[in-house]
Amino acid sequence: MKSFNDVYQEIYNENYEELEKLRKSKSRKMLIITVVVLILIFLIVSSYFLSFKNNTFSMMTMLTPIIIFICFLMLIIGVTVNRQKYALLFKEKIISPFVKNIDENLTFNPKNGIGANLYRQGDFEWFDLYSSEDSISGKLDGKYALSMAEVHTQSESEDSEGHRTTYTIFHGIFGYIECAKDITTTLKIHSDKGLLGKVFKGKTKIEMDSSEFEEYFDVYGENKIIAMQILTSDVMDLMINFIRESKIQYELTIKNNSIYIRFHTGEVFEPKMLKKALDYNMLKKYYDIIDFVFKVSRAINEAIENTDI
Amino acid sequence: MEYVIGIIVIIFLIFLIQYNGLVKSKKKVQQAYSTIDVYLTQRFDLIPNLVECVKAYTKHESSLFEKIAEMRTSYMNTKSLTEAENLNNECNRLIAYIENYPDLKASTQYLELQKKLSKLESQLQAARRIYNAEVTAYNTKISVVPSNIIANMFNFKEEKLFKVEDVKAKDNINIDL
Repeated sequence: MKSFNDVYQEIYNENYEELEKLRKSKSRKMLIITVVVLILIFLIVSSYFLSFKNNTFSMMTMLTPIIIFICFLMLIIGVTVNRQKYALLFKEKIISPFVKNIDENLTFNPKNGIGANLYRQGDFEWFDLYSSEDSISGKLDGKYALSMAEVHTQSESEDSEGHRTTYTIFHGIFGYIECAKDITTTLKIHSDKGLLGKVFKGKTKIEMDSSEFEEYFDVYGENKIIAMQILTSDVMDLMINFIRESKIQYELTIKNNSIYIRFHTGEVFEPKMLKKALDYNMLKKYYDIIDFVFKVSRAINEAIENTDI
Repeated sequence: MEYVIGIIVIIFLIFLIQYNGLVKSKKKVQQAYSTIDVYLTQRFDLIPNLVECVKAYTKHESSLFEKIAEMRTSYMNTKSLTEAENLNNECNRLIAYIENYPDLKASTQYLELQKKLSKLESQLQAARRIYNAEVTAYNTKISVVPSNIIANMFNFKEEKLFKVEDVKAKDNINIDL
């Protein structure tokens, strides 16, 4: 796998100038639309108050709220359309080659996501609404199938008056990686729930022999021996180092012959109109996540292969 | 008067929760040790086969088997942690000693044994980690306040960790034959 600086430099040399020109022109357009609409609104509101003060009411005065509403609508549509056009180009010119440069086996597809059934197999939570896009797929070391995507899950509730409310349960990157073999059990490594986790730990909680690991993660599984065989000190160190350096919460489930991993990152692979096209920190975050998925999957698969499970 | 009764009830409940916690923790240690015992027994059952292998290639006397057999019998009777550690370390030394004989290492009999030993070693290591984690949790519980008060009252003693000697093939291994 190439280093981040090499990947970044290649993208910069290939696509940066063209896309940065486009971003600036789109931002300028959005700014002009915003200013024009705000001036219009100001003029309309001023004329409304003047006519109100002078007690002169006309058809124009009555139509003022509708006109203001139309102006706001135009503003939102103008900004959204510009942003969407730029976002598609951003994904095509920056994210797609970025992912390809990290590993030739990987392919980025902004229109595809990961199915809800696959996400459910990770046993993370129950949800009512699900959406996914921006998938990355390929093979780890040419052997194990790998796919990742942005996933958004929500819960929906209805009150007595029939008003529906939705709230986000998870929004971030979800990944699925094939295992070296079927471990015939389920092992869950979830974020530490603090005091609540210690009090309501359940019968399947496994106490690990690393207090540092216990600080960040709670491990659940039916088979303690397999859990210890997979979670070697190398695997635990890798997991601790990533969460410490990136500060990104994540969870992992190893179920039968698959690894399911998810990162609480929020929205990903979307451009920031007011920042440069090649946002170093944003791309570094994506690189670190993909790099970690590769490393932890390799380490877990190595532990599984070396262990006669 | 009601306040006094309330305080007594609360103290009693704390006492009960702490005591039950200590008992559960001790049970977990015993359960973890019994898991180690299962894998150790399986490992020690392979010793005669291992010694037969060594005898065929190095022409050593049967005194080696007698010594290890004695240690094994003693462990089976006492199930003591110290004896388990000593016998386990003796096995590790024997295996490391075999590393010095390439012909023996390549033999079919040894290769089959090595596969079984390797699997057991991995399971034993995992069982040892579980045991040590439970022992550490238990020892911490009987040391901290307020559970140490109850631990002292009911004679809860510290448990030993399961230690393994670091034996490498390149070291000059001397087996007492």
